[in-house]
Amino acid sequence: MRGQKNPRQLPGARGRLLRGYGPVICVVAAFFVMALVAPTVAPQRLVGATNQNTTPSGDPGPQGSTGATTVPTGGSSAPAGNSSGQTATSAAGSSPASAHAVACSGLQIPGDVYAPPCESWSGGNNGGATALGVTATTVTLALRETAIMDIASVVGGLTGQEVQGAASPADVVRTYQVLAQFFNQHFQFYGRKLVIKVYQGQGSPATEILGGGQANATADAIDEAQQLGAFADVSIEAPTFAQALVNQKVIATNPTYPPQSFFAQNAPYAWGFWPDCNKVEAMDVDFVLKYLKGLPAVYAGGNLKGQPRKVGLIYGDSAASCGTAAVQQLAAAGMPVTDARSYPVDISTLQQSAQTITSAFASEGITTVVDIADPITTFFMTNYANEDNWTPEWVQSGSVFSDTDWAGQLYNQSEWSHAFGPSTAGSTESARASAGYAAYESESPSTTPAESSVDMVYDQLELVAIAIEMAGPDLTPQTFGEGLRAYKSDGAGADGAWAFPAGTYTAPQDARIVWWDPTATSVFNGAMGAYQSNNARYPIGDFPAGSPPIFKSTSP
Amino acid sequence: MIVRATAARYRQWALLVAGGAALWTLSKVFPQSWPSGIVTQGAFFGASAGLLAVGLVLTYRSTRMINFAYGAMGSTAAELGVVTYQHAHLPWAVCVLIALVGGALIGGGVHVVMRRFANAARLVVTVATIGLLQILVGLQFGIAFWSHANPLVTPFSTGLSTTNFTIGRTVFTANDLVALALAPLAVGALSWFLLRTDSGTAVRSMADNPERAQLLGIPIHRLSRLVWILVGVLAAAVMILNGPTNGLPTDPFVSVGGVFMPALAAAVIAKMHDLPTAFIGGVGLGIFDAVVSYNVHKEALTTVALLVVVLLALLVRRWPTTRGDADETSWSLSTNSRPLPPSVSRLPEVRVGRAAVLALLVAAAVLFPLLAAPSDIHTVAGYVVLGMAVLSLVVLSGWSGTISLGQMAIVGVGAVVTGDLLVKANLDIFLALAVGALAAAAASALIGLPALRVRPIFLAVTTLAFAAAMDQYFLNPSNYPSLIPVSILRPDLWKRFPLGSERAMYYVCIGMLAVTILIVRALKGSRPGRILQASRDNPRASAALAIATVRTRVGGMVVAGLIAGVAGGLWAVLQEGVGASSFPTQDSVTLFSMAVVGGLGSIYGSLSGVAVTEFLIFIIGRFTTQGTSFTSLGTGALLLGVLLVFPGGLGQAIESLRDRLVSALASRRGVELVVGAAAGSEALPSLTLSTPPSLTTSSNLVLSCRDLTASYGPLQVLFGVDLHIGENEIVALVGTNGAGKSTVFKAVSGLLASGGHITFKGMSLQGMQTDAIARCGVAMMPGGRGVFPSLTVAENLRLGCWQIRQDRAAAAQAFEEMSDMFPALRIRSQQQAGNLSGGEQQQLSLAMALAVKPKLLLIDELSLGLAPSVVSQLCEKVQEYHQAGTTIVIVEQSLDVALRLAQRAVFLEKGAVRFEGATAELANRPDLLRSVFIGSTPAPRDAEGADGSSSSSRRQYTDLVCQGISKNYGGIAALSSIDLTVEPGQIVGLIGHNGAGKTTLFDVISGFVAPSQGTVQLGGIDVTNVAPHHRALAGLGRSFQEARLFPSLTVTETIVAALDRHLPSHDWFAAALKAPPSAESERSARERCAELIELLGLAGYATTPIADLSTGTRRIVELACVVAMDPAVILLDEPSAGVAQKETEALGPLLKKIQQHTGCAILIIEHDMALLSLLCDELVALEQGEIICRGTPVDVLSHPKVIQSYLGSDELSAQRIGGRLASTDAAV
Repeated sequence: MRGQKNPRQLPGARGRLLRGYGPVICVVAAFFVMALVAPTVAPQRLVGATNQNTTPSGDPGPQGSTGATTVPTGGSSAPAGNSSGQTATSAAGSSPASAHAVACSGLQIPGDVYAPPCESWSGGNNGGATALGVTATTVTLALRETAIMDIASVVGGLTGQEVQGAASPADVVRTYQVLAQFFNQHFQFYGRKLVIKVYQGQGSPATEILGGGQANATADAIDEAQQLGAFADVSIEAPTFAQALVNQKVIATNPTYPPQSFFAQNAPYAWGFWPDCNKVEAMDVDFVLKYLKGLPAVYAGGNLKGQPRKVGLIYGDSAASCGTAAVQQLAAAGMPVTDARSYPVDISTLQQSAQTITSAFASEGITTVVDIADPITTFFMTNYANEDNWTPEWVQSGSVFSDTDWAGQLYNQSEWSHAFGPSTAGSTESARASAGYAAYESESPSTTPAESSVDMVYDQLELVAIAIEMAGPDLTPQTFGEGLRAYKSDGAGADGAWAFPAGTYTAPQDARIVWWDPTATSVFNGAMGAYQSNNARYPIGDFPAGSPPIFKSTSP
Repeated sequence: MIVRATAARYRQWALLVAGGAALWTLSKVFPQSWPSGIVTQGAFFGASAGLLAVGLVLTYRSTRMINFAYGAMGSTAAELGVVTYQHAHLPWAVCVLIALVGGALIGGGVHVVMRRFANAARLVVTVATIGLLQILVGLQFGIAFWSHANPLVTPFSTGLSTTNFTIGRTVFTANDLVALALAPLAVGALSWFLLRTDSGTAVRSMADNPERAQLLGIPIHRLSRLVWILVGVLAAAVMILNGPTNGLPTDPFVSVGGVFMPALAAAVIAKMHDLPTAFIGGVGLGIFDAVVSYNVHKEALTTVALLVVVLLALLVRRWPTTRGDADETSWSLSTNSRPLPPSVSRLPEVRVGRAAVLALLVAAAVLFPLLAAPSDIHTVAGYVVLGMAVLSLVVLSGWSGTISLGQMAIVGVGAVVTGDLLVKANLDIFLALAVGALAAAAASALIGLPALRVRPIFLAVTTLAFAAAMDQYFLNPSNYPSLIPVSILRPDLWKRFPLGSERAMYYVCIGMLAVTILIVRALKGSRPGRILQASRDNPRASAALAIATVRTRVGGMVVAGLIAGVAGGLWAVLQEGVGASSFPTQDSVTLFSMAVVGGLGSIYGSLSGVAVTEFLIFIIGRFTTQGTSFTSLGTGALLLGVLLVFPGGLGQAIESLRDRLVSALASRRGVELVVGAAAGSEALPSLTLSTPPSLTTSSNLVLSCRDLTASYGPLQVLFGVDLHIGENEIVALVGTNGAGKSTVFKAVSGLLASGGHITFKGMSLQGMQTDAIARCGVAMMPGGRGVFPSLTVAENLRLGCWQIRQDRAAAAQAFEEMSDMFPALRIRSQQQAGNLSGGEQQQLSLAMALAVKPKLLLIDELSLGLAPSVVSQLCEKVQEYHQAGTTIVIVEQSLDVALRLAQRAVFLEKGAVRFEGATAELANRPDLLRSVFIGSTPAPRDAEGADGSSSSSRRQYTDLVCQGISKNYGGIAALSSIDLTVEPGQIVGLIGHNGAGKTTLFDVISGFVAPSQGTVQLGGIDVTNVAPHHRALAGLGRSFQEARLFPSLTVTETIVAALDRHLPSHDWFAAALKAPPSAESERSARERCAELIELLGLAGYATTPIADLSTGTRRIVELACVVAMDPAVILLDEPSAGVAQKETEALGPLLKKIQQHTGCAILIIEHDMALLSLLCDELVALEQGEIICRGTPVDVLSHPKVIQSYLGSDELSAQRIGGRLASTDAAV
């Protein structure tokens, strides 16, 4: 029946040249000609600049990485020096401006092991506007003001729990401003001052921490880059926002636990003092192999206690590379994971994912859960586990703040009393005893900081300050990165040792071993439940052999 | 039938038991893959999903809409119970009770909201439930917030938690057992209620035909409240009893995507019909989900598995194809934007106004980025891209009626493909966008394919599952790190303008939106838009007009996919990458909500929907710290509010405003805006009123209407009608087609709000509900849809006795009387009423109206589509009831019937009474009784082709040959070995009793029903296995008994659609670009259409939507369509049904003339013997699917068998044939 001629066809354009399609053909042809002659393509630079050697000293970067980022011209830094005998210079030693910078003895802040080597500035030309957000007198840092700015409150909000001691946005903003003054006073910025520009953000950390909110995050990043002209951002940088920032060439100073590849692909625009998930994974693998392999599950509860260990591993899709690497390394070391499960980091399904994973693990008789999940999933899982009367060992890894007291307090306590594992975090101390609090008090004795955030803010600003000082007067994103490459803390402080050796982008270099005590009072917020540790720190991937120092005396 | 239904029920439970045994065996044989504990846990969880599915089905069966708020109804009520338990520390049982009461209250509250949507399209109501969902989730949060409780309820212990047991390694508690015990009890109780009680039957009837239910005195609002309370309690029970084990969902889209999705899938598996299947499906899905989750170590993969199951369920299941299920119109939005009449749009003020508005919009769009901050420019550019995505929904859902709740996933496909091409190949952005669009179009078509088999509403479920799978698995950078472009460098436009600037990017987005608007407008105004809407409105009629409905709908999906794909590509470039969760499921739902808020059928309305919704989200986000919850409340309230005030969305509001302005302008300029019935310049005949003696006193008045006015939206139909009916009268209400006769009935019975005064036995009926009026003793038998198609005949009859159901004996007696009165109904008592023939449905409808012996009976078209003998019988019955004391008003097109029944007649024309007096007097008023359509205009040039030759001279003569056609339905023979030949140029009449198989034979010939045996040949070619639209292309035309046509198209658009096979250009591409082939094709079609409109006197209706036409006028339009289609063989199914007698008399000569000019062959089903006698060369009489006689009209009509079984031997039949023959001859 097809193709039958229709004798009653109405008059149309059939008889015309090209059957009336001439204009269409012309438009299409013009389209292709335009695409050939003047194509709309990206400028000739590679997308996703990577971390090709950013230090003249020959830091090779990760294997297989390629990049097109310009190698900084001003760098001449030697390997990181410190006050204990090594020479420490800024990363801009050979630039004209650097002639005015002279190394002095000791650390920039005496007694602060994280402070960079002392540098003095005799004034003069510092290169002026060397990069976006940099002038002769200022370095602009952007701070996004959102409804919730305290990371504990963000996580608490997602789990519906009230976090004790959480700070208001106004307190957090003030803490940033005051601490910026502190670093302006005590660090060497070669004639410049840190200026924190606060703006009302459209995005929400609570959404972004679970991978959403791309449009608003991008809008905020654009605001920072184009409206504020920021050199770096110091807000809570959940993965979505961090990606938006680096896309806008604004330095993200503390993305929350992405894989190392994220930093590598976006170098030199992303750095952090929290570990990347590869470090978390390396710690966990080392911990499990050193302390759990081949032994019964003595730390489990109920009828799992003393059973031969069956390991289950859980990780979010956003940390898939770390999760699969852990599985492979454990298997290669002769301790196969019985069940490794990933889940989509999506608020709409987290609860259901946690439930099904818990059921599966319980059904399989998993005795030991290696938890590289986000705290919200862990929160759900511990509740479901408790309801199922399933009490495994929980090997917490410090992934996404799970090694903080406030996170541990969110979880089901009868389950979490079986939690232990490695942590890069420093020993928990009273907010008022922290370096951050002291710094704040020294600058603004008449006000009080956001206690729950002051240490985090201090660490974040210190990392920025370190990098700027180490970069030297010729401050660019490249020299910022070189500065960090050249930096190494003067031993281990409360947060352990910091450094950024080639191929790494996050500060922690060592870890301690912690366990959860639901009966202890947290010095962080005074609430019940706290991590305990002997506070001995070991290089990541190098825990000592022997029995793990857990559920024992807290003396080192 | 009852035995069969019971057997089916046993089979279901046997299946459940067998399934359980199989699972147990699997858990023993493959303990590693099917652990018994996991399977049991899946069954437990699935039981909850199954119960939710049962609630969904119950809601669907009572309202015919999918309730997306269902999960939230339960969780909000459960939140009350849990908060009380955890904070007030009351006993668990008390808290469960509180939750159940809460569920009942929420159900009642939802009913109050839903009642406001009583007259809205089902799609609108379905979307309203999305708004309701958001509000309920906000409330759930509010309950926790105000009671200082944790809004996130995780598993908790109750007194029952201490009692536990283990299966495999999985621990279960007494909480689980209680929840499980509820399941069979609830399913059994609800099934019993729905299937075994009068109230349950009434509930089902409400879904089929709420107006008819009200006319029978069924209090649909009260029953509806009962259903909502029941489902509310059920949802609350499911949620609260699962709370201790599973916690409660809080996020609106957890309710949709997580907990709710399996329930929705189970309901779809049960075809939204069968409660036990829904429950069993839920259990099955729960087990499936648990086993998949256990064995697949990537949680996101379970979303893919669910998608596959849903797709398979839709594709594999057999879907009902009864006539009753064919009603799809209420799923479409009848609010397509309507252009201004040409007379108005040509006014200089209108043209200047349009230009000014356009200039303002362009200026705003151009100037905005010069004034705004970069981030604001970026944000607005994002809205612009969303606008493009919404336009894709206008095409897909607004025109094509295919509901997509996963459109952002399609956008995501475009984003990823475009991004990859930009990043990896550094391709020109426009080429990349084109390729991305093609990929999205392919995805759109692929996911839309199930829509070709099922009702488009069910595609909502598929697309929702698709959105979840895409978001969590396929578009997840973790799963495809090398495929998802997480970072994209914006290109330089033509190597000159860097798009890194937000301003430049904004202008590109605005430009693309403008191009998209132009393309969508072009499509709307040409063939693609027309045939998409036609295929949506009435697939059978579309196919009969040679429109390939499947190809058309796929075309709609492809176009929507292309637009969404381009939007996706732009989105990726704008956001400089695609991240995890860039296209979350909830964004798809939000996008759809935006489209509905704006108005799905309206281009500019839907765009305004994006603007308003985003603005609201922005404002809420700016001023609250509880962003998600309050955003949920705000957007939900907005959605509901807009739908309540403007069911057609903001587009409708804008259009109303425009119309007001234009009306004022037009009246100032003296331009007539009236359309439809009141149109035309013809002078009305003078009034001739003669008051019958019976009405001299008001004491014996039964019905009195004074100064009655009524409108359908803006179209006023009645203009001050005065009508007075005395005690025990029979009055005939007659008039031209579209005069407002049925509207008078609707006003009296309360179905239509009216002005003026209506009293019944001295009691004012103004403001009374229809069911209350019915209970006063006013019964109405509606014309056309008078039965409940999905109910059995017996159930229909039982509902007819609704008002006397308390008196069991009286009800049983009435039932028996009706069954005796209409023996055909007794024979078919267990068949679905929708499967009865048109005439049988008419009988059933009358039986239902008569069952309670009303005081006043309003009969709309007694003889519609009935065999002469049946008409005689019915007339006798009506007279019997009249003699028993019932006052009767009858709307009748047949003057003969009116003459026989009524002493007095009232003649209406153009919404006013033009004559009132003795019926016999009316028969002598040719000034009144005249044809206003057919024959009212000069002789046509109808058959002349473009070259001036008649088509008969150019056509190869085509004949129709049916050989040995048989058709069986479930063992019952509808047709038996029918041999029928229609020679070229011959006119053959098909007569027979209602239910004799005439329409079934037409369905077989036109390809809508496959014969069990036999062949159909058209022009010597065997077309038995050829699709209907291909038969139409080959020259087979068809009209339908119900003449439903395409409700949302105007008369002009409908006739142009009928010209489809003659259009020189069918090219969508040319139409989108308004290229010459399409433009010229459209022009020719509209010229030809204008000729036909003039020919059939439809000029006053040219821009009137079909939905606003009366049945008779639709018949005339359908005739115009048949003429436009110009087929070689025409099948006419009761062309005179519902048409005024004078029009019918003019119809014969017209058809004859058409036949002579075109040389076509005609096969016609008709009960008007006069018409057939005049017209036909041969008559064929059918009886119970067999040919009993054939020959010349004289021979057949005098054949004893025909007289006995069909014509009847009474006076009326003879009169109808003989008298009409004479008058028709005169007309010729």
